[in-house]
Amino acid sequence: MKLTVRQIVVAGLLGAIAILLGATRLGFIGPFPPLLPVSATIMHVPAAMGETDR
Amino acid sequence: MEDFELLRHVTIGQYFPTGSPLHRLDPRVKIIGVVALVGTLVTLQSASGVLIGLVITFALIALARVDVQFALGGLAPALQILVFLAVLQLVFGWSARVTNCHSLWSFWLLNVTTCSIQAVVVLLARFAALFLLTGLLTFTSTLSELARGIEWLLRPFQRVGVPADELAMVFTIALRFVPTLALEMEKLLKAQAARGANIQSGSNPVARTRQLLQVLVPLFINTLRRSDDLTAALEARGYTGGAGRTYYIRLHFQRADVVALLVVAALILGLFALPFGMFDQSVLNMLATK
Amino acid sequence: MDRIRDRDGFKGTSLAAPLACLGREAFCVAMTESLIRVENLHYIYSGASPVEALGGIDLTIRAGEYVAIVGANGSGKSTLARHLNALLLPTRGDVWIACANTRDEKRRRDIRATVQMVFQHPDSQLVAAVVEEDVAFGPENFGVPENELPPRVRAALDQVGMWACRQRTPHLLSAGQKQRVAIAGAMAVQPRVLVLDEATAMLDPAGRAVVLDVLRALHHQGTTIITITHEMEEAVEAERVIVLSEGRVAMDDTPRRVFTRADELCALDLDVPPVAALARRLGLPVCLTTEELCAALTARGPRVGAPSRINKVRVSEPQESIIRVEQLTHSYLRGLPLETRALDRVDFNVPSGAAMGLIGSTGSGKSTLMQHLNGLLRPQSGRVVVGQYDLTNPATDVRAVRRMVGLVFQQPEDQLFEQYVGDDVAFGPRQFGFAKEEVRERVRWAMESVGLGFDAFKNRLTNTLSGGERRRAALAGVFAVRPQVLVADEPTAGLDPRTRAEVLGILQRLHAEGTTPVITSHRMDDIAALCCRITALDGGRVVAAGTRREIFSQPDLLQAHGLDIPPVARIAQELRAQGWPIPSGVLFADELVAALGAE
Repeated sequence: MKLTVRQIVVAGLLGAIAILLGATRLGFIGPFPPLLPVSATIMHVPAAMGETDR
Repeated sequence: MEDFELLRHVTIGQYFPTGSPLHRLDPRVKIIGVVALVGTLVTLQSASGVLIGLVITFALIALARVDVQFALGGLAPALQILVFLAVLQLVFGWSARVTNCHSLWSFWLLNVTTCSIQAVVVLLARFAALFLLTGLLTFTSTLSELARGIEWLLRPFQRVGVPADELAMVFTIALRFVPTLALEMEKLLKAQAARGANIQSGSNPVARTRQLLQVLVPLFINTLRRSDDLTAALEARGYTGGAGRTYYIRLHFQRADVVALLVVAALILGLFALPFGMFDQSVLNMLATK
Repeated sequence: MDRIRDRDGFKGTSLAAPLACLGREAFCVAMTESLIRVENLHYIYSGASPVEALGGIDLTIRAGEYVAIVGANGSGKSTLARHLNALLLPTRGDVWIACANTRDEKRRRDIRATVQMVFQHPDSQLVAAVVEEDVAFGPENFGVPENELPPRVRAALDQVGMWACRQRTPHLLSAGQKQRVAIAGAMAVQPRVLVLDEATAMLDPAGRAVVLDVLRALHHQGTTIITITHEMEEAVEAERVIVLSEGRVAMDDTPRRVFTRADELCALDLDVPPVAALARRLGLPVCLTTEELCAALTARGPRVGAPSRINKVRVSEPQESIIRVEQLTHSYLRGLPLETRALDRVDFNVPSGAAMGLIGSTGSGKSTLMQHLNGLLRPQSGRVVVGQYDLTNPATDVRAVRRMVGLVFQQPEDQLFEQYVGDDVAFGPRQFGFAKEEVRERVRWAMESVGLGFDAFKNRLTNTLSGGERRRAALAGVFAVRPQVLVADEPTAGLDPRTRAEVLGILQRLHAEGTTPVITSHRMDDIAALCCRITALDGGRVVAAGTRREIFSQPDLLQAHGLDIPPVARIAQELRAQGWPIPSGVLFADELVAALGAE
């Protein structure tokens, strides 16, 4: 599984955003259901944007 | 009143060079120790056991000479959810073991049993301990040390195709940029507030989602642009993956490390071996019969 | 240009060929002095609509040269730079670094060890969380033996004066410090060439001066320096200036000879350094430093003329303040280990209709003060009164304050989030609840006032705009609310000279139409042009306040606080010291020329 430099960088930065959303209040969408610190829809955005990689 | 200081809440990823004995330990030992303690706390079922684990965690934080209040501060965002979950668990009695449960208080569908009390204590204490333990890792080791430690520990798995050094690099980049992105997000929130947006927390989910997206979209765009720049910088500085690299951070195993490992092992053994389960039962029985 | 290579010359046995390769290259290196050779370089950015960025560049750079590459936006400077360390490969033509072709994958590592690069954005090149570890990153990648790493890191950090900060985290450093760390990281690899791609664009004058000192020292030690810059004053430092235009070399000569051709430069959207511009206006031969200017003036004729008075426009005493700040104090991260005090009992008054300038070195508290002016930050101690709203009172309607006071942050183009320009500009008015027709009118007005035609741009996708257009769109977004006071943090930072002039014009027009601007900037010439009153901060305290002429007549005071005076004022000061009868308070080129009795 060889990762290119670009993939490493993007993974790292998106990871940072995920951590950030989880660590601050902003990642929490609504009080219910209080399952994941980051709601599923929000996490799809970084995955989608990460894949529109050149 | 609005609070824009996000950096206050980001306790993960911040390093405090206080020079404590924990700082001087080999990062591999710290990683193994934390992982082992985390594993222990996750499998322990007894409330008192987990509470002891939490106490141990506080002791470790004090040993690291880090301000306990600051470390706990990072928990604040999660607190609402936690409390909510805890109340649910307490009152509806969703618990692992259904044996030997005495009901303490009952009203219609709500039922507080001794088991649910136990479960709630475990939930809260475990969450807090886990959070603090992972924080402890970043408080006492620089990212490069941790990355080195992870890379070394993952190396045996390289044969099965796990790219150890690359993953360590991902980890380093992520934690290094958390504070930077926090500052950027802060700036975005402020800019939008300055243009009239209402950034109060606690409004309805739809509005909050929209607000969040307004901040996330530019954040993502800027992050992707930053990734172009960062990729160019990494390549220009000669990074092509893990092969052929040397390391500035050197890992040496010292006596203190061996001692630390032994201590952790002893603690874990103690946590599993001591009859916490029975202790719990007797306490709860006392409550029930009162 | 020597053509030592003889590709077809070496034929022979299989053993001879590799030996011949080695010999050929060694021969090449020995015979030519050219460290970098660019031959007929063409580069096309592929994509939906391919753009030819470089259309045939021929260039030779010798070891130890100090070269500045200048050109307007889009001239291909960065693209050329990225060919020098094989980040980009030519579409046509060749690039040879120490006789290794950049296309040769096997030599790529050597090439990158020979040519190191420092980029424009400080944050996007620091990889580690601790300074000394980041400096070690480069040498680590090249497999430098572990016992050699610490001495290299130490030497590199000493060269840039950052050894004391070796354990700090990047996000707490200033931009200037970050760039110095980046330079250290590049030098730790011990390259023969250092390329700086607009590395000083994001820095304040103090930061820039330190970087230039570092470059001078490195050059002295034998490193080849190639710097890409917009600042002509930096280009003067170099031995050789290459002017690019539309992907081709337009000029390649010494700074003196290049800046003599001022008309051609103007046609290429470029400036000349202030001293040279002044010399030209006075009809003198080209001068690159103030000493030369003095000498040329003296040579031209005796010090003549009675000291004339500056026509001081009588600044009528301010009738009322639209913003009043009294004894304001503010600390960040209060109660936490990293607490810092940003403002210390600051008094600040903005008279209605007067353009106010706020100056201070990095960390002086300017941004913090600005954020108090529209209620983003609330006074922790002291008072802030905006119009009739007292921000000390927690019940104050903060949004009403924000309608009155618009705030534009640094790099506002980073905050655009709507897909279409029109929508983004409309965000503000919509948030304040204006009716649809009203919103449309405001958006139209705002866009026209920044020079983005409403019909032409309202349906453009935001990510298709150029850098300058994005900045103007972001400004329009704040103007659309038609605030009475416009607070702008470094509105011209990072812009090329032409866009900078446009933005200044926009702000001046707005002021003429009745808005009160409050501007911070590192560029003293912008402040002098725009603001009639100035407040200077240092370390969270007010160190000076008054009219612009008053403030800029105190260069020593300003310098003591890490500040400078506008270039023209600096030149005037030096001329005065040489005995020329120039009245104090001269701020503009016109005044200086008049005082020298040249016209």
